[in-house]
Amino acid sequence: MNNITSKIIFRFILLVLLQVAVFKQFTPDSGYGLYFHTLIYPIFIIILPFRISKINVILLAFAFGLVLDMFYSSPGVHASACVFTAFIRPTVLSLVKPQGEYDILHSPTIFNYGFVWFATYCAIMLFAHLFFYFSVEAFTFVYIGQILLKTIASFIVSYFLIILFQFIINPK
Amino acid sequence: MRNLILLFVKYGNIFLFIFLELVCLTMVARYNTAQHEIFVNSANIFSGVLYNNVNGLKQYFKLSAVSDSLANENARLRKILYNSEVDKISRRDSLLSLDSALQYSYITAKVINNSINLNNNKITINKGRKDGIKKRMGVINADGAVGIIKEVNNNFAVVLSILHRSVKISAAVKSKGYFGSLQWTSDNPSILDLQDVSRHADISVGDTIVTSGYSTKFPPNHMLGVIDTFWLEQGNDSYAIQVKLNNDISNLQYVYVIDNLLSDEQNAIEEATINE
Repeated sequence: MNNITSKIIFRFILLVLLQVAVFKQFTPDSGYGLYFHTLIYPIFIIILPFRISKINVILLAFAFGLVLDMFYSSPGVHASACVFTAFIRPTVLSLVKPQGEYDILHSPTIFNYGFVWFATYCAIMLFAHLFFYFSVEAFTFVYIGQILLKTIASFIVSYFLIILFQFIINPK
Repeated sequence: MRNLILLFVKYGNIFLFIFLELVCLTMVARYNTAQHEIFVNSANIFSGVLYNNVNGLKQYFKLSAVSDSLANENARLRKILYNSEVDKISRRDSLLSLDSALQYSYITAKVINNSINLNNNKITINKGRKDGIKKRMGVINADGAVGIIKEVNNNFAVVLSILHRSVKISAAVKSKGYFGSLQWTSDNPSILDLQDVSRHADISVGDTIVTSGYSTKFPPNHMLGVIDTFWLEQGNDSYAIQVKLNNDISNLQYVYVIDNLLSDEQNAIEEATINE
């Protein structure tokens, strides 16, 4: 347990730093670039180990989102998206259940369940997260077209980077 | 109780989710400028619609008061009409009544600015030179006197309110004939002083004060107020009379500007004898 806790804390800090220090700087602030937000941090919620209870996942996601909001100076926006993603995680996991059951000691990663499975699972989670995030950011569904456009554009960039991240840092 | 705990154990994540989302969205709406504005604006749209409906309802309730005042006004006008007809019939041989029936014409105006808490209060009305308003015309409403026109431009006129220290109105005690001049000297916007009523006059509290008709500004016998108190001051030849106004200057809506068609004639003949 101690091992897992320290791992999660390490991942927490690493992802916040990566997101804020690296990918936030890449987000252009004009023109078409405005649609491409690089958000890789949802991977923190996506690959949390199975043994962490639903409630703890939500609480962790909330804390994670709040820390990100501190850096983005957008109180509540990232946190609400993170809480939402954490909340739908069990449902999505049962939707894409692989052959056989999940091993309670594992994490939902490429290395445990294969590339195709992870690609599907990650796509649903990331898309839901981004859609929720941009909806809260716009705070009204009047701009639903723009929300969807931003979601899709950011999804493409972030999805690619998250899969890459899985290969770079082996979370096994 | 056990069921409640079980419920929480089973659906705890849903409750937690809803709770945390509420916390987040509250933060979003409160601390982010853009989202805050959207939130406030949507709230404004809702409250605006609500206020509109409430106002409509309020106006509906006010209708009774409005229709009351209109009915009173109608009754008053009808009385005048009836009386003037009687007047004409009884003096058909005289041209005077025809003249006097034509002596005053009224211009309706809406009050668009008003004050009662200054020493020299003024009222702005929405009619001006284009509507035939001239300086020194009198202004009344259904319940009493309002003031005297001071300045006129094409579309507006400024009225010196009867709550202006320099305005004097020629007034009389109704049906007793004693007359004096009504002026605002107190601090109370509903109390005016009636000056120069001789100490021999037989007056009592509650007597009605009307316009005398001696000046060219106001028609005679227009209600002004009632005597509130009066006393004799030492060494003074006339009563100090306090008159409670019949109309409420703080709540003026529509007023009538009096156009006295014979005022020039009367002034001319009075001026001709002024040095005699």
